[in-house]
Amino acid sequence: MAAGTEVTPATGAQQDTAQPRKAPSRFWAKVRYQLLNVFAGLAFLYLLVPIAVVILFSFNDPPGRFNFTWHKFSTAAWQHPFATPGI
Amino acid sequence: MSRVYRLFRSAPAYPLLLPGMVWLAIFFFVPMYYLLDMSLRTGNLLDGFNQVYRFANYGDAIRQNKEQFIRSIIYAGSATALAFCISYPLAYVIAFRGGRYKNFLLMLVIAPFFTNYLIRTLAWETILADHGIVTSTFRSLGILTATDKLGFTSGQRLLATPLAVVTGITYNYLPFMTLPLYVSLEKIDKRLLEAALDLYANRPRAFMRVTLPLSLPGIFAGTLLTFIPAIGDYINAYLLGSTQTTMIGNVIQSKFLTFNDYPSAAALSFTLMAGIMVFVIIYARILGTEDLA
Repeated sequence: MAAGTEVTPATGAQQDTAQPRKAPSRFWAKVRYQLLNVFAGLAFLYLLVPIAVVILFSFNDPPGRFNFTWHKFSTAAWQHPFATPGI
Repeated sequence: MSRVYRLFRSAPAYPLLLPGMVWLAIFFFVPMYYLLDMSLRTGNLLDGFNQVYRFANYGDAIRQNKEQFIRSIIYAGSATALAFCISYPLAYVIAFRGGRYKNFLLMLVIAPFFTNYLIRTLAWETILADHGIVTSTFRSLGILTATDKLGFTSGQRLLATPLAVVTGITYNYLPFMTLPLYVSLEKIDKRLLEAALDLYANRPRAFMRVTLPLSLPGIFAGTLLTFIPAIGDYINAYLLGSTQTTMIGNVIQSKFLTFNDYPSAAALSFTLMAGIMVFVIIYARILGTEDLA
């Protein structure tokens, strides 16, 4: 941004001929800047959602053999973590 | 003369290479030899595999699995491209705007590795399940109708479609893309960017002429670290795909473990390896990263 501030005329006098091109509005510059941050946030979401799902579904009480749909809250899986012998 | 001198001057370093060399010899070259030997045999598990130097094993393996080879290239290529598009802005934000949260954000990128690979992929099975939130939202928004038309999904579902497999592969290899990109972006001298802006480059131009070229080594490393394991991956296609999305890794896995057809599995493995090697050489030539090759 250093380059942009240097060319701003200090006086309020009419200097149409020497006027540098008008900078894009502050608002859109801010939006453009934040767009990248939002994108990075979404990327983090993509990275972390499966971890959250794993944690969430560890508290599930699966209705059948598969733990794919949410049934009801349970801590059964956490109570005896070593009950199932190694295969 | 000077070459001989240089050779002797660096001689003390050679014993240091020994552990790595021994490791490579035992765990890479020896298995590689047995694999090559196996790929030219014929027979079955009961009667044993006889060495007959049947090079046609390769032709047969390629011909019978052309579809899976092409699919693997497409899936791994799309996953690599997607991972790049997601990772570059992510690595950029962490490297240039991370500030004092840099290390924390990096830890978040590595966080998926705290969980087992299989568990992560199974989590995607849950997320993309037919009655899950994602699928029903996509369906009611009409996104699935569009992706069905494009051939990315089929039958108004996400699971067991190419899209699910590519999503899984992209997810699982994303950190391998992000980390090298971060390293190369992080070490860029910010004064070069200031110089570009002082010389009246606008920001897109400064990015194209300074940031992007300087991050090329990271792009090179990241794409290879993503593409190479992705093309041989079979877990994602196995858990998130269907019989219509089998990749070459699935074929090799089932030939080795289900059908006990070791020779053609070995031939497929070697073909894949040779293909990847050719690709890497061409890629390295095109990208021309001397300080990496």
